[in-house]
Amino acid sequence: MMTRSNRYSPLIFVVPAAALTVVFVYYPLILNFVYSFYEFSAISPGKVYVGWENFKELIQDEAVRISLINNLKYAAISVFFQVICSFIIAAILEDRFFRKIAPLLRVLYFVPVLLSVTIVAFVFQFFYDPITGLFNQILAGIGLEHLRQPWLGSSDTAIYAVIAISQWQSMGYTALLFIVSIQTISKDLYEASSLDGASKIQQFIHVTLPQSKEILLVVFIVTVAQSFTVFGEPYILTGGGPGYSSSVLATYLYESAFNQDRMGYASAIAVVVFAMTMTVLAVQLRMSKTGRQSR
Amino acid sequence: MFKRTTISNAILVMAVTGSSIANAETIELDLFHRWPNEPIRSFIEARVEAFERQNPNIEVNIDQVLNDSYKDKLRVILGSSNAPDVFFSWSGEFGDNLARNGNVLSLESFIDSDRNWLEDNILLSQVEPFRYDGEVYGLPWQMNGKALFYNVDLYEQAGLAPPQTFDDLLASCETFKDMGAIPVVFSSKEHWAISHWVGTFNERIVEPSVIESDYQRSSGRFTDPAYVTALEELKRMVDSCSNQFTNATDHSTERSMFIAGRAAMNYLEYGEIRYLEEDAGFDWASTNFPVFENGDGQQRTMQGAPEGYMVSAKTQHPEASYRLIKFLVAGETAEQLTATTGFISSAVGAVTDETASSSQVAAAEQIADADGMYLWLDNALDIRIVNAYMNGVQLMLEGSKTAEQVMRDVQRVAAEVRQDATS
Amino acid sequence: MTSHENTLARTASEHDRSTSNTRFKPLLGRALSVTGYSVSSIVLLVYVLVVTYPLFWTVINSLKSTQEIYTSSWSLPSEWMFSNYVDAWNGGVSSYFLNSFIVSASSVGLTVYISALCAYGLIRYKGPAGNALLLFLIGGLLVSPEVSLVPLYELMQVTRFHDSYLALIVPYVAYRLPITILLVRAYFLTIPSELDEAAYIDGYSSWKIFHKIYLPLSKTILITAGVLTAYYTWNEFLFAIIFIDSDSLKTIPSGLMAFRDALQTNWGVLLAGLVISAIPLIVAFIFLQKSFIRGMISGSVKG
Repeated sequence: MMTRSNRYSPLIFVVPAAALTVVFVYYPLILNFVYSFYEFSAISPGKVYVGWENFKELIQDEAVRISLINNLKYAAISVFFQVICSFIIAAILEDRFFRKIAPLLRVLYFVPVLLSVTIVAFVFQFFYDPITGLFNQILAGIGLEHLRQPWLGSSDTAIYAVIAISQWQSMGYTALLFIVSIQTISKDLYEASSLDGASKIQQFIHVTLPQSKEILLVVFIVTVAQSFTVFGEPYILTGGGPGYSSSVLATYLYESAFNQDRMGYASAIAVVVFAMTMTVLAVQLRMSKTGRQSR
Repeated sequence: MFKRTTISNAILVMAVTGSSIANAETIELDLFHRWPNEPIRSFIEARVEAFERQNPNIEVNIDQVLNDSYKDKLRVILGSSNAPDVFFSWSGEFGDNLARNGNVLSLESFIDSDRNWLEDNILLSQVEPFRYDGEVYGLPWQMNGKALFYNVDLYEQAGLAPPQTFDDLLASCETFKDMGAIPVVFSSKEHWAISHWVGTFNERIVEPSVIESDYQRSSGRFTDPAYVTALEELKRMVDSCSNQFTNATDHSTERSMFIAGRAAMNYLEYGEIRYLEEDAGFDWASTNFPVFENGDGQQRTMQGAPEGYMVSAKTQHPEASYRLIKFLVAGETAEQLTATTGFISSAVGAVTDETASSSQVAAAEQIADADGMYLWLDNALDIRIVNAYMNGVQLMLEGSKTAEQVMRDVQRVAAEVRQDATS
Repeated sequence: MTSHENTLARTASEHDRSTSNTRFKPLLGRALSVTGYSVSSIVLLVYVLVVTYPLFWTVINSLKSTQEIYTSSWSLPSEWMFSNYVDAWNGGVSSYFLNSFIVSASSVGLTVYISALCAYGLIRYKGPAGNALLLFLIGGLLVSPEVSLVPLYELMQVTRFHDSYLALIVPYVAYRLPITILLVRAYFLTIPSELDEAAYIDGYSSWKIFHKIYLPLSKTILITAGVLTAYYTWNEFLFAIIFIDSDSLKTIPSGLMAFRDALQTNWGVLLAGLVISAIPLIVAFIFLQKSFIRGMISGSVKG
């Protein structure tokens, strides 16, 4: 019965998805590499081939260096809060002792995840205000007036103030992932270890942690990858300022393209973003492979 | 919008083939301006409605975005497939840049046949800054300038006279501080706000011929040590006369502090008079920025430039667009502009005791009295230089960069811009 | 204390220990776990405060006048200004809301339908290079939209999608396809192929099999995929600020930026606008918690 045309006919169902992916995902990606060798502007027609010029400039550009370091800070701090702290909180929540209150807390912790970045940024802008904001008022209230800061307006604190908001918003998300994963760990493992006299902390170290290796790796990778593409928080809160002190690659890319109108240079920055995310993914691939072999 | 554009394309064909616009079907124009805030937004809406009533065959779609975002958005949108027909623009480098890239329609041919109307209605001095390469690319609807506004009540309490020189200003700071007031309220969160200060200090301290050469894209070097002095003087003023946390303060907060009576002086645009008239519970007055006795620059000029409207080079309805601009810059619109929005109209005879408050009339006089106008610095310079300059000043104000370091960064970017401009 | 009482105390504590599964735990360990639970409780409580206080503050201050937010933003409103919500809604939020709804609903519908079609084609395709095709289709997971921003921007100009709903819907769908295909395909694989064959013998076309058998059987996963897509599109920020210029077409994340600029210092109304914008997803989460969580989990396992 099966004819040749029948064998290929299911492909027709794939066409719409394939077409969209090619035109709007792969084609722009490839084009971006091409554009990174050109100099052009959105308002005047014509592209000029400049070879490696954009990349040469990029290496010497202080703003790129600061942005990259800020992305790394973003990644390091996010890993601490969204992987380590979240995991501990998830483990605590899953303890039988908290089983009555856990469902409520899970929902509460998750609410920030549901908010748009614009909403979160605006609310925290109020909190960071140097004169009327919560943080400085608390400091003044407890007699630490000298510690008051223009949180978003000082190059010492701006990037950390921005990063803090992302932690506030995203910890509930990773905690939820951990909770679901911990729930799948067999109860027998805990029973057995507690019969051996293991304390809660020992159980955490010897049962929960090794059983969650895979999800920890996944969340680690996703967190780091997101840290390299973060845009909304710094864009809304500081616009990268003061100076470039809170700039990240994506905000600098945006500024180059849509404020300075240097589209080619922006494409070159995008290549850096791409390289960073690919590196992270390569690390994941390697780690998950070796993980499997050792088992 | 996809559909709309195709339809208007079709209409264009009809308009071109028809003998006059009046016979064509409805023309749609897009107007893009920079005031999403009231009362200006509503004022423009109302005036556009009046325009539509006068021209039943023209329909105008309005869109608006605020200040800094407007600059970004406009630059990009003019190159895009949906460039607006008529848009707001500053005169100076901002508008020149658009004209240079071929995004703006020259208005010469219209003005040629309309010479009498122009001379009778618009202050010609305000049209000049819209000229690029010999041709007029836009018409002004307001003139604007920056002046030092001061709290007369506080000055009387302190027993001081308004500052004539910058040294007067610095000397008065201690007195105001002792009274618990901020001598000069200051904000440096937004680039444009800092650039007005830097522009003024440069103008007063740096030699005019040096500025003339440096503010050109093709010859900007910024190596004169007077630029460093200007920044150092600015830092001296902020350190000894201004509020804390300037990098975290935006301009509207700065103005609110002045209006709340907490500051003695505030550097504001005349266009902001309406906020003072609405909310300030004290006597206030304005004066051109004080002179720098040791400065090599121009001491009696004023920062500011006319602002107005231009027509996109891509418009399919140049004639209708020009008609809309005429409607926005003169006649009834100009007469109502100052009273409704607080902007100082640049139309002939539009700012009088009947149409404006006494402080607005005074503002118009101060603009006329100045030895000439110099452009807003953020509009005078290439955007890349502005970014390097203002980012640097933010870091200088918080103490993490010196004035020399800031100027070195500016020189580096200026070299790149120079190369682009000459290649 | 008598010896009798002593014994009583001992048995009681032994009883305690046995019920908590720590029969052999030394007393020190017990003390530790009491401190452990106190510390844990404090951690959880502090985290609750950190998360809820800003939310509480926002709702409370959205009911105040600007003046009051400035002077006493940490107390309850002296006068409850419910009018702020009316002003926010009429002042633009309703339009952003509607735009977000249109964009999200279209993106969800298209993403889920096109992905399901594709997944169906993939599992029925028995020809060569099937795996390569699958990899090609889900490879988009690795590409973050930031990387292709400049060419995409140009593409939006060329296609004339720029500044229309399509400028958001089309890229949203394109970038959400890979994960959705992955999800739906995994589910389709669990549908027994006998069902297919039986329908085929009954004279069903593959088109009909897809619509009458696969889609209805996969409701759960389709809802999950839809929720995940909606979560993404409702809050997407980057494309929303770049591909849309007209105020009248802006979605919530970009619209709120314009809303703030327009209000200047009318904080109460701004905060009310923020609250209104946050409500739909929170409500959706409460009612569709299971789909949400399932979606979030499968959504995270990318790469």
